[in-house]
Amino acid sequence: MEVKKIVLVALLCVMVSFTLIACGGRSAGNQATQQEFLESWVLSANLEAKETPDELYKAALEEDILTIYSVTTRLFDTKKYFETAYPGLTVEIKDIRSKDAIKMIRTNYDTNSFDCDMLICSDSAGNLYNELIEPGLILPYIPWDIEPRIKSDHINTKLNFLDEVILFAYNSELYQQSPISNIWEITENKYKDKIVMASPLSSFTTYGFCATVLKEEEKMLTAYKLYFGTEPVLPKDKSIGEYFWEQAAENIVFVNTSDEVAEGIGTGDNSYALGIMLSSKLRLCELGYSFEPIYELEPFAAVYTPNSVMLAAGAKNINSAKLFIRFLLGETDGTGEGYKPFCTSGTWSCRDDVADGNDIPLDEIDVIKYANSFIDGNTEYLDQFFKSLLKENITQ
Amino acid sequence: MEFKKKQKNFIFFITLLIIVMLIVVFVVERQAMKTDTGKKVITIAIVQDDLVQDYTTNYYTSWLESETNCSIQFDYIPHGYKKEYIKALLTANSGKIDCVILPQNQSIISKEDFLSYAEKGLIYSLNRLTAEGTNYYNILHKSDNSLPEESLLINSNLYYFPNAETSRTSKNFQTFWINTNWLKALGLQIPKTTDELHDVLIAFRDKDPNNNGISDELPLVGCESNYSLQSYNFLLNAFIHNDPINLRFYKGDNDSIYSPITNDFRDGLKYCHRLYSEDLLADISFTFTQNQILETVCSPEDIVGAFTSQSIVDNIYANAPAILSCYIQVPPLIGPRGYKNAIYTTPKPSIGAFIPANSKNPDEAFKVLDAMLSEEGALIGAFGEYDVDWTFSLGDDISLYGNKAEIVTLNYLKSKTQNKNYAGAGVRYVDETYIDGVAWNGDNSLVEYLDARAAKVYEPFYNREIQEDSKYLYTQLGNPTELTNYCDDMINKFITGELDINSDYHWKAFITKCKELIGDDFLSNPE
Repeated sequence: MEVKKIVLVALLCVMVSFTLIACGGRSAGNQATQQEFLESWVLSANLEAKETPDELYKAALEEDILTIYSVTTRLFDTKKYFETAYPGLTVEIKDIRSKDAIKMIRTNYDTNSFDCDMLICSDSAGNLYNELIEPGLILPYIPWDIEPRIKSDHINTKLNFLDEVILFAYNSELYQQSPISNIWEITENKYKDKIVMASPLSSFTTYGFCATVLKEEEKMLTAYKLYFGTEPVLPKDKSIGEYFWEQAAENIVFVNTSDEVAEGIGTGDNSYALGIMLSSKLRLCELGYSFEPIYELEPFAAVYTPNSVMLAAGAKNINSAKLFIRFLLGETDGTGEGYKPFCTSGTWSCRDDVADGNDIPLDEIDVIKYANSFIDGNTEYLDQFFKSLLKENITQ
Repeated sequence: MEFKKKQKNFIFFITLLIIVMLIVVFVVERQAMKTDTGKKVITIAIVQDDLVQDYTTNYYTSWLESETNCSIQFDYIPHGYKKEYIKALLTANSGKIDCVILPQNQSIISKEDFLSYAEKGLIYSLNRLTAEGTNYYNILHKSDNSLPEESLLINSNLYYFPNAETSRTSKNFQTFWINTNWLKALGLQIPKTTDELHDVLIAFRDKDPNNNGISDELPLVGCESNYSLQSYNFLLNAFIHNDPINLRFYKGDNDSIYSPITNDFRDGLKYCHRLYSEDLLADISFTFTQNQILETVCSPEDIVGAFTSQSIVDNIYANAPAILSCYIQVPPLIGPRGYKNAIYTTPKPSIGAFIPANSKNPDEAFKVLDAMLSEEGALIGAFGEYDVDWTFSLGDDISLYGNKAEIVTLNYLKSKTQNKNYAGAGVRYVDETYIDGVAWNGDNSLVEYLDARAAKVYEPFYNREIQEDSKYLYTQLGNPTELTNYCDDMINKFITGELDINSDYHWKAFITKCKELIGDDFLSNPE
């Protein structure tokens, strides 16, 4: 009897120990399992396969609703055309900021719920690579028959399907031509509360723009000397970029999005003189908004900000997603309906057989690349700097 | 063997018995704990909202219980019998209900019915309870007078707790929304004048902007359910100050002017009639309910070119981002004489909650409802749990209106199923600083964001210095309600052609009747 008791107690102890060990190791185990799942998903996704639209459509009909996280409302038009072209398929778009899309995909991964099939966003805040690409949570799908038509530099760890810039624009009801030729002019007192731009903490692309100004110290210094004719007297421990933003922010009215910037300089009686916004908003001029882009400015007029289309690893509707990406890229010959909503003023095509939406080619604009690696390495500093800038300058 | 089997069974049953007893003891103890604390049990009648998971376990309920030391239980008002339920509970001898919480934007009891119940003594007067120091008292006596006591009084008594709209959006009377997909499809611009709008609407009617080969387009729709949905009210503001909330009066240089009997207003009616007779202002505008209009705007066939509303969600489902993204606000139109105008309005609070006269615990019921008016209660009611669903901004966030934000939402609850508050039902008064100080959550199709953008476009055109005060008007006019009803009816008839707006005979008869209802003494300077 005693022996039996001892055995029973021992067995209980072993069971408890196993339970505890199992609990403790669960998260590490989960991670390994998730990683294995993603690896097997990539294999089963068969991203190199030479599938035709018909094959994909047939397979997609067996799948569920395609879920896309997107930063652009133009995708709703593509969705409409896609659902007409492929009856029986349904697309759900979550229209959110890049920042939130990245967060949601990370959360999906952490909670093992792969709710998103595709992502459309920009990488202006530099964390797309660290947060999603490097860990393998999103990956590019380049349709085999469209790849030869994609311009160089548009396929790397991402597929950049549309080029945009963030640029200065002026109110064309107030001015016949650009009132500024040097970026330092916006620090002048005459522009107090006359400039509107999105908060760098609300808008990823604006974040990229502001960070690029901070990084381009030499260019900013040269432009300063050109405009003021003297060397700048910088406060102690201030970079020229910081000095610029601190001066400019006193004149800027911060809003949340480029849409509000466009409304601010392009409509109403209470208009601003200048705005800094996404170039794709130039399409609003077709609706009667009155503003014009500034393509020439010292030391630069715009910062390049491409839009990427990526598959979300673990996507449950891989065939629908592949078919949608093909459709979005305009199909094999580029004439498909899906790309048309994006071929508008202020955008440049990723394909060599599809004309740019914008009249002026990108290489004729004073545009520079956004400071990707600078942003990557200085996120904490940049966040802090922009936060303090906003605290001081947001309208009460 | 047989004995061992019996022994096993015996042990099994004994174990089972012990487990059952333990559960019973646990439940009884818990119940005892609840009653032993001396907490009064308050029964709240409420309409169940699909967005609220469970009222009993709701975070707001727990918070109210801990704040008031009351225990709250719910009685659910049956769908389909709401009015009957209210009547029954008020007229019952023994009141089992201590307070009634009403849903937001849903009239399960009309103001007239409520007034009648109050006059019959069936509603508990709150006068005694709204003493100094209560949250209700503090709000009524705020220095900014944002919720004046007079706006809540019925026969000099306070009978209900308010559900008050305090946002900037709620003060923008009306927004004109236009289908941008149709404009783009036809290569048209957002109209700036009444003439341009006419041309745009003609194109909407004739050029198949939804590209389905069928002439099914409704260029402009409205709805008679309320003033802001009546699209003609927006159009009339391009001709003259047209403020239906304030009975369409405005302040002139020396006295009040009644817009409807002016020539400018008549020109506006002619314009509206023209749109109607040319099938530009759809005839469903005068027959459809608000729900029918909403279904029409949200139809997958994409058949509506433009409409007006206070909030875009009045006519489009909040969870339809593809449709929401189609429509954009049109700034106030410029009329033929260069006039353009937007109306600022001060929304009247609706009935949020009340205490039946037969309540057994009116003081405790008041305490519970009053807690909802505290700053903390209001914030939970609006945004959910602090630090879980929302937090205070550190000063670097921008509100939906472009000002410094006060509130940052961490988990946006609106239009979501949740268990944190009553989804807008009941007592509600959120200070403007908070309600207008919510940071944008990044959702481009967020209704509050779209409405805030529209409000910002309209605000520069408010003409507040000439806006009449309806309270003043009601005390000065002979028969304001009859005047309102008559005028609304006649506007409808002139636009739809039942009466001829071009006929001087009809127009003069209209003016004569209006003057009679206004009273000659008040209106000394009509055109």
